[in-house]
Parts: sequence; C-alpha cells; structure tokens
Amino acid sequence: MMNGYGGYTGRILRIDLTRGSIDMEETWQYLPHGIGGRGIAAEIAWKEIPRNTSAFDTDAPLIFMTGPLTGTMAPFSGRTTVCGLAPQGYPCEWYTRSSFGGHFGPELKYAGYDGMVITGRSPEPAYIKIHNGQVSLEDARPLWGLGILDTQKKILGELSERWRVFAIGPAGENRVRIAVAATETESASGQGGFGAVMGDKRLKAIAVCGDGTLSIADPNRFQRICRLVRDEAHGSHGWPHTPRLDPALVKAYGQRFQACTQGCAVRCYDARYYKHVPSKLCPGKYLAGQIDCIAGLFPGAGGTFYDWNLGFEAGFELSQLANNEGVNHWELLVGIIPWLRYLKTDDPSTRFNRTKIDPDDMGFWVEVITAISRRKGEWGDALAEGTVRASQSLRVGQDRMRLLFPAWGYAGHWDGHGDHINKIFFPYWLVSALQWAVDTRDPISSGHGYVQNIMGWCREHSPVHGLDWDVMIKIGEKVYGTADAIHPLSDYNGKAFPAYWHGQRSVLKDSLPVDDQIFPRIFSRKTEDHFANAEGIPGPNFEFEMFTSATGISWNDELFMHYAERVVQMERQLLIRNFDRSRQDDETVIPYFAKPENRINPFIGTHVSMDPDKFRKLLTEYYQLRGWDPQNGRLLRETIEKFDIPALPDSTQSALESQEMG
Amino acid sequence: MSRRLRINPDPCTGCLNCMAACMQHLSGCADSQTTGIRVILNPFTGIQLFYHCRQCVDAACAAGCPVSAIRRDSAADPWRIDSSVCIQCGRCVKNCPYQAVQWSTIYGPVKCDLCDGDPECVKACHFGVLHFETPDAIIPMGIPEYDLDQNLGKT
Repeated sequence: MMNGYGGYTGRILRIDLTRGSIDMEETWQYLPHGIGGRGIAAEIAWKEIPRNTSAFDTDAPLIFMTGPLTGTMAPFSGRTTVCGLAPQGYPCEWYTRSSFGGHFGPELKYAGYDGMVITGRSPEPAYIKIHNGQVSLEDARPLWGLGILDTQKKILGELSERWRVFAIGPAGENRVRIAVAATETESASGQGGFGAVMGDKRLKAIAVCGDGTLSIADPNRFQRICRLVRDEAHGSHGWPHTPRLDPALVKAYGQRFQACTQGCAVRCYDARYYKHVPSKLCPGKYLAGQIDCIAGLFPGAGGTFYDWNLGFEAGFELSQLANNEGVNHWELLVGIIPWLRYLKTDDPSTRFNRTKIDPDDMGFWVEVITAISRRKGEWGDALAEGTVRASQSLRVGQDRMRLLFPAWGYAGHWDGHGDHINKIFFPYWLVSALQWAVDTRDPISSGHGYVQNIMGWCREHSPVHGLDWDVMIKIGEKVYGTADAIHPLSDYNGKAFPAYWHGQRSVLKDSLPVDDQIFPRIFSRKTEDHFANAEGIPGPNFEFEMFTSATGISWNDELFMHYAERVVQMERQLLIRNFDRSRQDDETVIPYFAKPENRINPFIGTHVSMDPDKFRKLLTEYYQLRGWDPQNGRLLRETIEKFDIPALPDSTQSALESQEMG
Repeated sequence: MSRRLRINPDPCTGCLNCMAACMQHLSGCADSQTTGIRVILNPFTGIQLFYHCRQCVDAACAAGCPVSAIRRDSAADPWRIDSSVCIQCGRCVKNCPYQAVQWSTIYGPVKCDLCDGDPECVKACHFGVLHFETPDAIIPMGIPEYDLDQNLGKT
C-alpha cells in the first residue's frame, strides 16, 4: 500500500486500444465509498458511459475489477468482476456485471493493479501483457481465430506456466451476443456477452504475471478472522453436507475436486476436474479440463426436463468445445437447446440450418455451437444474437421462448418456471422474481443467498443433513426480521425484505469479492442453534470483519451495509439516466411468473402461479425499502441525498417527466 | 527424523489457501514472493507441482551458505534462515534442488520454517493434501507420497 487502505494496490490501469496508450490512475479516488469490484465499476460507469452509448461503441469502457480481499488470505475471494454495457441485454444493452473465477484476479493484484478500464478499438488484433510494472500491447494476429483454450496454451507456451490468461474465442471475435471470455478451462465471464465486447475491441486476450505485495491493515485480526471463516464454511452453502466423488468417474477419467477459483476452501457440488477423457470427435486423443455448475448438464440428465442422453464423454467434449469457441453454457443448456427442442415438438420438420434437431446426437450439438460462434447459416447467425432476438428475427417460437426467458435476454435461473434444474417452489421464487424484476441480467450470479440456501437446507431436499422448518424459520426471523421470510405457508408476506437485503449482499460478493455459493453464511451444522457463527461473530458479519481488518476502513457494520446499498442505488440511477428504466420495465417479468410453477410446495399441494396484483404490491413494498418512487421506480429525492447519489441531469429529468405527462 | 511437510497431491483442488496462509504468516500481508510453499497447477493437463522444503538431512541450501545463516538446533528441527546473518547472496535459492527457497525482494531468501511446529498451510488445507509429520506421529496416508526420496539430497 503506497497510501490509503490495506488490501488494495492503489492503481487502476487505463488502456486505450485505439491510441495504444497505457496509463494509470489511483484507486483511492473511488474509496472508501466504492468498496471495490462492482462498486468501483459503478462509479466509473456513471462518469464514462453516457446515455445513448452502445456496447459496441469504440469509447464504451470494459471494466475489470478485483476487490480488497482478492489475492489475500481471505477465503473464497478469488473472483474478478467484469462490468460494462452488455450485448446480451434485451431490449437494450443494459449496464451489468459478470464475474469469473480461476486465478487471474489475484495475479492482477500481485502485478500491482486493482483493475483495468479498457476503451477504444485496436487497429489490429492485440493482447495485453502485464508483468508487474511492464504493460504492453502485443500482436495477436497469430492468435486470431483460435479458441479460448488454444489461445491460452499458445500464450503460456511463449511466456510460462506461471502466467494467467483471460481470452476470447471465435464467438467473441464474431461479436456473438452470447460470447464469453474465460480463463483456464472453465472459468468464464459468461452472462452478458462481454466476450463480444473484447472481440469488437479486437482484444484477443489479457495475460498477467505478478510478484507484488498487498498490505493488510490489521494482520493479526485479519489472520484470525480468515481462519474462522475458512473453518466455519462447509459445503457449498445451498447444501449442508459435503459432496463425494463418483468412484466410476474417478477410475475412468481421473475425476477430482477442483476449486473454480482461488481461495475456495470447500469441496463444491459444482466443480470437478477430469484428467483424461477420450475424445469422440478425434479418436485417440484425450482431453483434460474442468466441468463446473451448469456444464454438468451437457451429458444430459435422465428423468428431468433435460433428458437428452449423450453420455459423459460426449458431454464433456461438448462442454470443452463450447468453452473453446466461447459460447455461453447457460444460454446453450437452459435456453437454446430446450427452445430448439420445443420447436421440433411443435413442428417436426424444423431444421437448424440443414441439421435435424436431435439433442441425443452429438453432431447436432457441434453444429449448433460452431454455427453460433462463427455465425454460420441463417440459424447460426440468428442465435448468435441470443435466443430472445433469434426468436424474433426468425419469427419462430416466441411463445416457447417466453417459457424459458424471464427477462432482459437471459434464460431462467432459480425462478421455479423456465429453470427446471433447481428445485424451488412457491413462495420462495417470489424473492427470485423481485430480484429478476429490478436487475439487468439473470440476478442469480450473485443472488443465490436466499433461494438456494433455503431450498438446499430444507428437509424436502436434504432429508438426512437438512434442518427442520421450525429451526430455519427461527433463523430467518433473526436474519430477515420476520418468520414469514422462510415460513413455507407465508405466501407474499415477508418477501420484500429478503430481496432487499440480498441485493446488498450481492454487491458485497461482487465487490470484496467473496464467492456467491458460500456467502452470506446463514445456516450451519456446526452450531447448536444452526445459525452460522464463529467465536461469537455471526455468519452474516463475516464479510464485514474481513473487509475492515484487511482495509483498515473504520466503518461500523451499519455503514458497511449503507455503502453496499449505495452501489445498488448508483446502478439504478445509471439505468434511469441511460435507459429510462422504470417500474413499467420492472413489471415485464410478471407474465413469465404468472404461469404455473414447475414444482409443488408439499404444504400447499398444488402448482401456484404468480398473482400479478399481489406481486405489484410486493414490488411497491420493495421500492419503499429501497426509497424508490412507487409510481415510477425512480430514486426519491431523500434517497439521492441519503446515499449521496448524483442527481439526474436536468434534460433527463424533464424528458422523463414529459413522458409521464404524455 | 526431522519434522516436515508431507504432500498427498491427489485431493488438491488448486485453491492455493496454503500459499495465502503462508504469505500472511511470514509477511503479515499478502506478499506473493514470501511463501514457503508454492503450488502450480496446469489447468490444461491437470498436473500439479508443489515446491516446499523437505527439511533434508544434508541440506544443500545450508551447505552452500557462505555465512552459515541456515541452521537448525537438532535433526528434529526445521532449517531456518537467520536474517541477522544472511548476506542475501541468493546461493540457497540456486542450490535447493526442490526450488523450495524463494527470493523475496523485501526479505531476501524465504523458506518454510514449519511455523514453530504448527504449520499454517496444513491448517489451511481442508482436503488432506498437506500433512505435518513429526518424529512421534507419522500421519498415515491412503496413497504413496508422490515424490518422497526421489530428491537429490537425503531426507
């Protein structure tokens, strides 16, 4: 730390690819109020993304941010947040965020930078090389056209294994709106389409290697709290027990647990590494790599909505193919393939380009992935715009699309309707619906804290290791202030506060950062009352304790959450200024949730649909907690003053007012 | 027999919590060069490499030190660098056959001292990769250690 606070390097890289200039600015100007990660990005975005900017405008900044805990001993702190205008966003390219794991973020910190702001467009394909204080733009013409995995291998071969590389593949190069950018074999900035923004900027990759130091303000306290947090955590937070490896997969393919990011101290349900999987497409060749989260669905899951049957080897290879090409796994598995299958059901003669729609056929998947990444044929080019836009341009399956996509251009996720993977029933998806309503993307990237936690810990889904409802309700009362927050027969009562509270927690996850699958710590099997606690520190305070001991910022718990909420308010104000975001927009989620849920609450015994009027009341309740105008969803004057948020420009304010009058 | 770290690499998840805990212990902060253990994982092959002190009987780092700054009181103790004696010539870094002595631009040579008998890295590892072996307790492991006794010195 040169000055300022512990945990940060104090410098942010500013790279203009058009001019080829590399500059530095101090991080301190954004602190302490910006916190880190997503919080600092919101400050930058407010100043540097004016209204009417598109994701593919040359001057649109792409913002990479770490946080004060990145690269330190703080457990679960290895992710990096990417922010900017999102090509995947619908109906406009909403400002949003998308984090990725691996080891890139800590390496960037060791190289001496809290983040990067990248603008402009390189005249020729380039990659950024960062080695401590030496930052350069390198010729990426030999890399152009290569996949994400191949690009990394080539750069690592020229530099050394110690480097970390974040790259795009053909999808990004071709400005596919669902293009990812990624590091290692599975850690992608997936949702948002930021790979396309890199491709538009002709930025093929970023390679980083560092040897620096991050100071810690209170080393003894920080070390103690990190040990406590690390040792308290167990299992990914949605589940109370530790997963096991599959002996058959261990034997056949060398399966093992693999952290999806630096600092993870649990065996996760979602992340596995495979050392030797025989290739189906290139017989005699063996593949190695990681399968995380949704990618586990590639082989198919018999007896579920996703019941295609490709087998493990084909599924693994398709996952790696999508990673290499740079096509978003979530969109593919939860959106595109189910949508195409619906189209086939509706009209068996439907073809994807000239290929028969058959999810049981590996060749069909290869055609879909590569046609999208390379914009081949009418269907490849259409789906390269994302399923929502494709259903419109192809004029097919729009009703089917609406079964799978709640809003903003993203497929379902923990919503109880279009997402058939995650087991969630009424009334818990009401909180998801609120999260979806006020966000600009699938909110569950950093929003698992409520739904996954409750669904994973209840006896219905964890009969042996889970908790009884009365225990969980008591904990809910402690965290959310009302028993209705968790009671399975609570209907619409007590649902606004959890959505409000987890909004701030989401910011903390993307800003400190800490892992979404682990935080906030709420339920535990290590305490008598099952409320997470470590030597008197309540689980939900872990983030505060790590942040203040690392940085030395002398906030109390209340101020810490105040500044986390300030980020939510900054982002909302940006959406209002740039996109006229309104209550009317927020309510566009209602028709999706007004369809019957896909599971049944056993205490109710029948499928429930959203009641639009009750939900509108719930949304009003949420607005009141946030300090937003119930009529239009804009920040009230007192909210702007309370959080010291920049006011809307007079021109925007009067335009919005005349819209309302009209 | 000396106390030392033993490594069972198979369960390693690549979290690097061992390195982070060691950095914090040795430097009081996150100095990426100041760590007595380094793990490098190749994501494309799955191969993990561990660099850590074996507490060799005939330690090349100590034998090559021109000012005898690397010492231990008994065969059961870990080798330590006496920074008040060290002239920061860097020979120990070059001489160690396991690349277990790191060079820190702040501290000069840095190596594992087993944290006074309570290694932070072992406590940070939740997966059974790192074990602390003492003369009284040899920790049983399910599979053979990956590189034991294949070293150039004697362990």
